[in-house]
Amino acid sequence: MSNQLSRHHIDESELHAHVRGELSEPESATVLAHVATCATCAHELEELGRAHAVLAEVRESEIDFPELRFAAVRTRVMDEVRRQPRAAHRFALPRMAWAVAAGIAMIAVMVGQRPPAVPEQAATPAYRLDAPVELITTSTPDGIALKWEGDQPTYLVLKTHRPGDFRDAEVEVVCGNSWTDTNRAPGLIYYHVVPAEEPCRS
Amino acid sequence: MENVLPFRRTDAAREAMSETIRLIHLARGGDEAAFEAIIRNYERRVLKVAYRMVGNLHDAQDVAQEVFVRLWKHLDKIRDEEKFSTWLYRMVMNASYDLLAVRKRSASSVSLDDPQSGSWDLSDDDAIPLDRRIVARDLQSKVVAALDRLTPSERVVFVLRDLEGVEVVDIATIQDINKITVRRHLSTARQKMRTVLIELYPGFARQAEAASIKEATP
Repeated sequence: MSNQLSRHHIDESELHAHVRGELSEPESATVLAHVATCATCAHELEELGRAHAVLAEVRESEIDFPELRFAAVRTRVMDEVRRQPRAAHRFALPRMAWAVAAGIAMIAVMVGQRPPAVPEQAATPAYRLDAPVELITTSTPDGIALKWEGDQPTYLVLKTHRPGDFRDAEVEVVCGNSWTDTNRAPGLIYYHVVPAEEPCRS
Repeated sequence: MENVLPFRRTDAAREAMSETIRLIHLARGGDEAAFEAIIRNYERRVLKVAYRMVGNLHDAQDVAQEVFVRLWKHLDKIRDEEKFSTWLYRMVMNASYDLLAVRKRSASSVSLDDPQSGSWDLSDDDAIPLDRRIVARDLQSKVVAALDRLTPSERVVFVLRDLEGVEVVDIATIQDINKITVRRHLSTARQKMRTVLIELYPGFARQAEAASIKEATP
C-alpha cells in the first residue's frame, strides 16, 4: 500500500487537514504511513506544520486594544443611536389609515372606555397614533421602564408584537410621563406612546 | 463573551446567544441600554476581526463603528436571532471589503499608534524576548501585515477560516457564495501566505521557546 501511495503524493488539502487535526485516526495514519516513505510529502508536511504553528499562535492570541478604543467606538455609536431612535416607535404611512380608523375603536374597547368619536373621514382623530412621543426605555429589575417628555395629563401606552399593527395591542392609560411594564410577555414587544386628550382620572 | 467562538455549539456559546437574543429583543423596542450591552459583548470580537481584515486600528475602529450603527438600523432584519453571529460577521466583512476595495494599501499602512506595531524583528537573533505575550503580539502584527498580499476575497476567507476558525460551510453562508468558491479562495490564499508564515516560523519558535524558559525561571 505504501508503495502505491508513494507514487501519488498526498493532496495538499489533505495535508492541511492533517496538521489541523481534522482527519480521523485511520486517515491520519494513512497520511503518516505515506509521509514515512515519501520525502516530497514529508517536506511538504513539515512546512505546513510550521505555517500552522504560526497561525495557531496568532489565532489564539488576544489583541491588546486599549480600552480607550472601545470607549471611542461605543461613544460614537451611541451618539448616532440617540440621533436615530428606533423605527419601532414610528409607523409606516400605509398602516396609518387602518390605525386611525380601526385602531382607535379597538383601543377604547380594550381599556373599557366609551369609544371616542371617530369622524367618518377621520380628519382629526382623537388620538394621534402617528405622533408618538420619543421614548427612553431601560431594563430594570421591576420590568421595562418607559419615560417620555410632554405636558399632556394622560398618555396611551400601546404594547404590540408587530410595529404599527394594533389589532392585538395591549393598552394602558397612564397619568404622567413614565410607566413600567411589570408584566412582560415572552417575545418581542414594541411600545408606542401617544398623547391622550383626556383628563387624568386616577 | 469575546472568548466564545460563535460557531461552536458549546454550553457557553448557547448561553451567550440566549442573552444576545434577549438583548436584541429589548433593543428592537428602543432600549438603548440593551443595545449598548450588545456592543460591549461583541466589540472585542468585531474590532479584532476588523483589524485582521483592514490591517490597522484606525480603520478597524471605523469598520466597527459602521457595523454597530448598521446593526441598530437593521435590528428588525435579523429574523433568526440564532444566526446573529453570521449576520455580524457578514457586516464586518462587507464593511472591511468595501474599505479594502477602495483603498490602495501599502506595507506602511500599520499606523504608528497601532498597539500591534512592533519594532522587534522576529528574524533578529539578538532580540531579547520579554514574554510570550509580546512574541504573540509581534507575530500577529507581522501576519496581519502580510495579509495585504491577498485580494479582498481571499483575505475574507483566510481570516475567517484560518484566523477565526469559522467552518467552510459557515463562511459560504456569511459570504453568500458556494463552498467550492470558498475552498478555491482559501487554497490560493494559503499558497500566497505560506512562504511568509514559514519564514516567520524559525524566529517565532526560537523566541517562544526562550520566552517559555524565561517564564518558567523563578
